[in-house]
Amino acid sequence: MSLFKKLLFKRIRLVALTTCISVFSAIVSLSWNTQLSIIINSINANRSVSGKTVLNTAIIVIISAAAAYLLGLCSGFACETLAHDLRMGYARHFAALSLPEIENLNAGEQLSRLQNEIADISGFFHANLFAVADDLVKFIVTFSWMLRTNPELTLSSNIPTVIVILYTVFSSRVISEAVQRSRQASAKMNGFADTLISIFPVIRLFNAGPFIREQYNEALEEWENASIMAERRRALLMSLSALLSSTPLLLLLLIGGAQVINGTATVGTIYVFINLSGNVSGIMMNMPGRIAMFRRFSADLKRMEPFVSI
Amino acid sequence: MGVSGCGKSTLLKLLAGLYSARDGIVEVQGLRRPEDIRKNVSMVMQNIMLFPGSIRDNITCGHPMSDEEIRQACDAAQLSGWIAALPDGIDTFVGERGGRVSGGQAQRIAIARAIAKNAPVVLLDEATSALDGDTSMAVLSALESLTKGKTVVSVSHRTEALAGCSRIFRLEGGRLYSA
Repeated sequence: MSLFKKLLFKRIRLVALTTCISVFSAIVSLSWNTQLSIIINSINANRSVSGKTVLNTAIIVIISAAAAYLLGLCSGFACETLAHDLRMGYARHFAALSLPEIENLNAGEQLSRLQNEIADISGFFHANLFAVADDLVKFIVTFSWMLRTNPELTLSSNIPTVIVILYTVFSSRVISEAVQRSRQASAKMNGFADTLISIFPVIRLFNAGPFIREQYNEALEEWENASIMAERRRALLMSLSALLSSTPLLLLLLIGGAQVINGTATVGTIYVFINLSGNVSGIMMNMPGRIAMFRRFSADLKRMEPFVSI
Repeated sequence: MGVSGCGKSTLLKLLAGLYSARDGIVEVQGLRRPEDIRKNVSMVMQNIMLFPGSIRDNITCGHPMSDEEIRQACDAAQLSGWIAALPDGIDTFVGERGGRVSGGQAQRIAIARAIAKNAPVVLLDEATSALDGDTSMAVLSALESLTKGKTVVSVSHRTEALAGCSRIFRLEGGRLYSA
């Protein structure tokens, strides 16, 4: 992960700015939900909603839209910059190699890295990096607010998710190992393209086609088995975690509903809790996928580390 | 013989059936189709090309071959002493594009491969250029005894490498002249 740290520290100002906008966006979202809770409770108590409340709500909605726009803009720019730094670091590494080192490289394997690992890392930057950071910020801010509003409901509906988290940590580790093996097999297989081109005259003259084909088929079979195993494990582990992660919402409905019947919580609070459950239990529900993706990302980074000069 | 760029290597590749002639015909051992010619020709190329496999793989090219045949080819190419000193012996990995062996060792592996094919026509394109004087002479002498009864076409800048040849030609302007 030192490569990831280097990339982030190189653009620390941009990353910090995007994170600050994410925190601001999460706070605005909470304010909007608080206003919504006030409106629901007023209607439920047969009170009229004041003009001031409506105006406040409208202003919060506009600020929320502006914050979402800024977050999208900054995170997109930051991700493209990080991906560019990675590609340039890869090129810089090869430019600094000595001739004997260059001669010993397998162009097919290096091309495979460029097409697979770097493309996947760039893809993760664009699709997940700030989405994960934003999720984390939302989780911390929302969970703190929920704890302050109704600690009993917050803890009882969310503590069981610790089991889900432990399970996802275990499952993502297993998935990562399988993905790493699949990647290695893929690079080996792609290396054959370079071999075929560089020694083509010898293959023809010595009728070595069947020999090379046999070696290629072995590498292909190795990659096929590794990929099937990785996908099978992923499907098995993720389906069970999806089942486990539905527990928090069920508990929220059950315990929250009981609190409303007993009069210890308002309908507005329960509505907001359910509305915001995406920021807490929802994030936990997505955690297996997120961690699996992050594991894959870190496995790709680990494989790229010796080939990138930052 | 011939100066650099006169087409010596191209002529050998035509004879090996790696290139097809644009005009005229190429006939080797009475055969004209490149795929048939290739079966009857073995060649040591100027740019040594090794498979990313073991020494054994590079000599046999995946064809069934007895240990005795491989040993004979290695002896002739002056490889046996070096192979005996390797921890994995003949199963030592030569690296990507032969990156784990020296230029001279790679050339001797290529010579062993050409000998092991046991084709009636042997083409040598600067076959001993990466070897020192003594090793070069030893390899040429071994090649001479192993290629008895075979047609050997050798291209070299060094006149001593052509010492055992029955006929020497000079290639100039796309034509062969008796040297």
